[in-house]
Amino acid sequence: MRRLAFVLMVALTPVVLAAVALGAYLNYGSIRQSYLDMVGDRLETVARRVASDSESALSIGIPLAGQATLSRLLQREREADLVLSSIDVVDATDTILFSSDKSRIGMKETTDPELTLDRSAAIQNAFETTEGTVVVRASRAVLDSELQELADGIEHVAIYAMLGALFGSFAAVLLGLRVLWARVSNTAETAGGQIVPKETVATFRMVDDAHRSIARQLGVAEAPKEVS
Amino acid sequence: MTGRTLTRRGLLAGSAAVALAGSPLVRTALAQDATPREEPYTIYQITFRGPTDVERGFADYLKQRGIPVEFIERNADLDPSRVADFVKEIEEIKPDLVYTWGTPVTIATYGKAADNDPARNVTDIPGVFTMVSTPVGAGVVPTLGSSERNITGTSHVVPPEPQIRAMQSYRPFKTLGVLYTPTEQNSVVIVSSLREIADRMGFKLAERTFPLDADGKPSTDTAGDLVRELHEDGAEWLYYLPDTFLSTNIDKVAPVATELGIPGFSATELLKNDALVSLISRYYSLGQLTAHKAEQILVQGVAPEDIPIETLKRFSLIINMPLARKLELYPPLAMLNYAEVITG
Amino acid sequence: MRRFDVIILGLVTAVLLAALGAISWQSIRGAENLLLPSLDRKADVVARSLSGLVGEAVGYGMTLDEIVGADEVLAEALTENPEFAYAAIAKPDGRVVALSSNQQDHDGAAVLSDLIGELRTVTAPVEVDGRTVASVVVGIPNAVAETLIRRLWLDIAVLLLVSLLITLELLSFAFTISSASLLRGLARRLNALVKHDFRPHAPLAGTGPLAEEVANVDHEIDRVRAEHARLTRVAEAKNDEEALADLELMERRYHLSTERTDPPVSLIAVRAPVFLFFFAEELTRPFLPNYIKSFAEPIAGLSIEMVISLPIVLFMAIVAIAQPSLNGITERYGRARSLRVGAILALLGFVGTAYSADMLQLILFRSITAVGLATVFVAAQGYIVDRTGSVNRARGIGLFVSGIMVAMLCGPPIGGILAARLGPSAAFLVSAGLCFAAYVCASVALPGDKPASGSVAPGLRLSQVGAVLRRPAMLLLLAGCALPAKMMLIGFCFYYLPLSLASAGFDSATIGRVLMLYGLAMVILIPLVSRLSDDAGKRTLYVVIGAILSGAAVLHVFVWPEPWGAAIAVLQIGIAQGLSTTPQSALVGELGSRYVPDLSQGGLYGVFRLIERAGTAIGPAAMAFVWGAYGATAAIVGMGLLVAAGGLLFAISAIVTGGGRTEASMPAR
Repeated sequence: MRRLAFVLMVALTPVVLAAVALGAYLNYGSIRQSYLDMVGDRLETVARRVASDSESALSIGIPLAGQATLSRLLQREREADLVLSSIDVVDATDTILFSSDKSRIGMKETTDPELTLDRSAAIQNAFETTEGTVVVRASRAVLDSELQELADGIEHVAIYAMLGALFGSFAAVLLGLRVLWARVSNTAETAGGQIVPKETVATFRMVDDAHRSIARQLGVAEAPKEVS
Repeated sequence: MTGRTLTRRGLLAGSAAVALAGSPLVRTALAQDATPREEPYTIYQITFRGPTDVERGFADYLKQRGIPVEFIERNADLDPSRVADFVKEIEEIKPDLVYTWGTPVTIATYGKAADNDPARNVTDIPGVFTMVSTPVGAGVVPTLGSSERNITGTSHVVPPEPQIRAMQSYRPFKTLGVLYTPTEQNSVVIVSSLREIADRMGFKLAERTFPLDADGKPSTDTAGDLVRELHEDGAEWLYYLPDTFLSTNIDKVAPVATELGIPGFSATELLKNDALVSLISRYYSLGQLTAHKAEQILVQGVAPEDIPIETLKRFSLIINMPLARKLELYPPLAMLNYAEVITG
Repeated sequence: MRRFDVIILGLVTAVLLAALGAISWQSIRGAENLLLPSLDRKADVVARSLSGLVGEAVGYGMTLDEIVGADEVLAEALTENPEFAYAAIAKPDGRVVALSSNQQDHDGAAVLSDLIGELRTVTAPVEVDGRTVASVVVGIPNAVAETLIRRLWLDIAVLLLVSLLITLELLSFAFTISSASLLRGLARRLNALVKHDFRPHAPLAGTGPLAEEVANVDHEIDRVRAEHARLTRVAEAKNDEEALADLELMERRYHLSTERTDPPVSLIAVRAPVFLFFFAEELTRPFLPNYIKSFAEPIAGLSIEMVISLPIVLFMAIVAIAQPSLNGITERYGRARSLRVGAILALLGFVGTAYSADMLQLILFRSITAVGLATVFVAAQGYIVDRTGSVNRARGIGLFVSGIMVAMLCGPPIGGILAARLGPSAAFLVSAGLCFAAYVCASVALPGDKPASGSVAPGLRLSQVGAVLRRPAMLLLLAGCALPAKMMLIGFCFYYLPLSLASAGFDSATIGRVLMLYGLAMVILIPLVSRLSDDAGKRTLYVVIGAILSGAAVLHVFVWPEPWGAAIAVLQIGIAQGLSTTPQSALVGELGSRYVPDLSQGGLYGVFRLIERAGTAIGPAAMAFVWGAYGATAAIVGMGLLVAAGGLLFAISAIVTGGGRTEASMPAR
């Protein structure tokens, strides 16, 4: 029995641990995705707002390169939301014309999805070709650090949950085995003098009684209780 | 099966795709291949009354694109007959491109599609025209798809669909009123196209024309009554088309309409102070579009007959706030996001 | 044993629910700390933008009541931000000027205080000339994190279900160890007797009180059975009708003279490794086609669809071709050893697939996996055949097949979730891990191989195949029903649907849940149908109905929006094949013995399996070809027509030959 209990516990351990771990990961993953979606939405709203301001200026005749007021707008927007790392306005050759971070002006726009989460909005002129793009970036490092607290919290509970689930399932095994053991070792004697599980005694008696009545009907003697 | 997440992911994917399409990484098809030559292109410009914002947009676009140009500027000074001399000069100088402003100058320079003469017109040098309101109606080109000769161009006219939509967004209507001069060819053409659009877009067109006096000239004597008649016909908007007579005498028409509570709509910048709503092409953007066509001809070597004649795709919406207050017809809040508001 | 299983499962369920519940609770708290400030900021951005717009309008001289279309602007803001509860413009005194709300009970709110309730709000003032003339208020529900977590319930429910199924498998596996045999034996006897089942049990060796108890029970059972036999003899000698009738009644109630056909313990032991192994392979179903697609480039002459189908077709073809020869090989090297070798091969294959850099490597490693799979399948099947007589072979094979069916139920949803969250490579590595677990179980539980009996079963010969297919009834059954059924399963369900659902934007987790429906239907129906279709007369009917249902199922993708169309189609195909699989298999034996009497049952079923396996390879190839050349609709409809037509042709042939009914087939006992 002990060996059986041990084997059962060993068999259940990976299943229980995997189930709880996967459940924890699903929870975390789903929240993380929502958070990133929300941040993405915010980035997009800012990008579109800057783009539409720029398009209005374009339509009254100020070329993109001449929209110096954009600098202040970009800085203001960036300060309003600390998750943003930069907002750039880029022309059709990928050169950064304006930026919330002055040191980026003049460089070529490059995006690295590993380092940043970004969204862009096109600045279109009146005949619907693209004059430039607004690129809004959030640093993944900042986002990850915000997510860290969530991750830590879930991890914490997950470990306790796994241990708890493990002990719980061990208890389940032991309890189940105990019940099983109780059933089989709760013995009684049959009419034939054999020690069998108590629950079966009634069944044997039923059959024996039926046989007895048939034997009587047939007029033969009952069989001896022991079969040689 | 997790429905909401799917839609949002789908939306995000869709908007990312749109953003990507607009990003600098995806160029417009035309800007890609060719690079301009070192030596400046000569462009011979003939304007009707001197340089306008169109020319400024034209020049700025080429400059931003890094295309070196040298402009030879000529002014017809409201007199198309001066163009004859310019044509002679063009024959001598042989510029890379000819540029004309307005219907009279364009017709004087290139002739009509059905009636042009290499002796009087520029036929061998590629040309662009701009500020021609009805290139087909005026006979400059047979269709907007191609001039079938050595020219292409742009028009400042706003197509009717965006105009109707602008009016409907501001205040939905079932009947549109129009008052025009029957002797102006342009107006007649526009009204007949309005009739066709009325059928298609499901509204009624109420028409009145200025009466002609004994000399066959239009008169404004009954202007007020005509407006009142249109009002009785149920007109909910009054359409101020680019009709010269109407424009000159707008002060006899617009106030009556305002009194009766009928807002006015204008498709030209001229009448923005008299119309509640105007939907216009920005001259600067038109210049840019014209330059875009010039770029195709000069840098990419596309033949003008392969370049369609186009209008802008985005227009400027102008709302006259004092009129709105007088009419007590305020614009929907959403419109303020993209409209330009005149306050004085 | 039942009660034991129920106790453990019930407690494990409770424990897992508690654990997962605790995690969800913590997740909600953490999510609120993370998302709510973020949502606040978003609301602030939106409110400020709206207030700027209203300020502009007021600046132009409109009063708040004169503003037109404010409701539409607010509604637009809510559509773009569905997490918000409402957006309103209010006067300084609290009166609401314009309102748009995502909640019904806000309709007609006239004053700001009506709206606030338990929602958080973000307010942006509308300022004109330094005075605040109005405010824009955006309401955010507090429960935003809760709704988020609640959306996970489906994933968590699937996780729970699969965990319990795996637990069940492992429980029965654990009881196969030798030290548990007495306890298990006694529990089985107890259960049997309580259900009035007096069939004898295989004797168990051992010492100690348990062994004695087992012996005692067996003793009593023998005694009772002997008495019954004695009384029956006496009654027959005396021709006592009444007594005989009574004895007959007792026999029916207590099974006093029939034998038991339980599969031996060593058979149950093989189920867990087989289950784990096929679980590993089924895990890959939702995302494998798309994983292949990421490597695919058009090769000259072949459409991209055909290129994607190549690894799958090759895989199925290898499994099909290798099987006949593997039978002999696994017998020679020992079934258990071969099974372990197969598991290791597949493990290597999965690891390689996870790290493949190009199509060629992918094909290579999938081929290795295919060899592993074929080896495991043949070894396990042979293991069962070796250890069962004709009497209990059906149950043994049934055990084996149901293990595979449960794997088909569990694998896809978990694989889908893993691939969606962790990526396909991670999921392949999990498959590799499962192969390792299968290896461990097999090493631990399967007894050593008996030495080869000397006479190795001959492999399948082409002439045998020809002999079978030459008979039209067999041809129609095999090539008209069995082959298209597999074509439909692999070609439509496992090749086409994952690709089409993914390109429609659904993630692997959803695809996994759709594919799970096939396994679900099979697991539920096959045991049910086995009982019903013991009636030999109905076999043809079930096969034909299955074919028609299956063929018609493809239409669902045109009728319902995705993913429901795919889900209902897969479910219907599962039901159809659940109905027809067992009767089809039985029909093969029945018609085979009628038309090809010279061929042994082994040979006959060998041909059957070969044709079926061929279908698994032809299916995706055909689907891909038609899809690439004529479009998806043609491919889908074509597959459906093929399956339905095959069934109908078989039906016609059955009617024509008056077949389907055999004169003397006793119902199985």
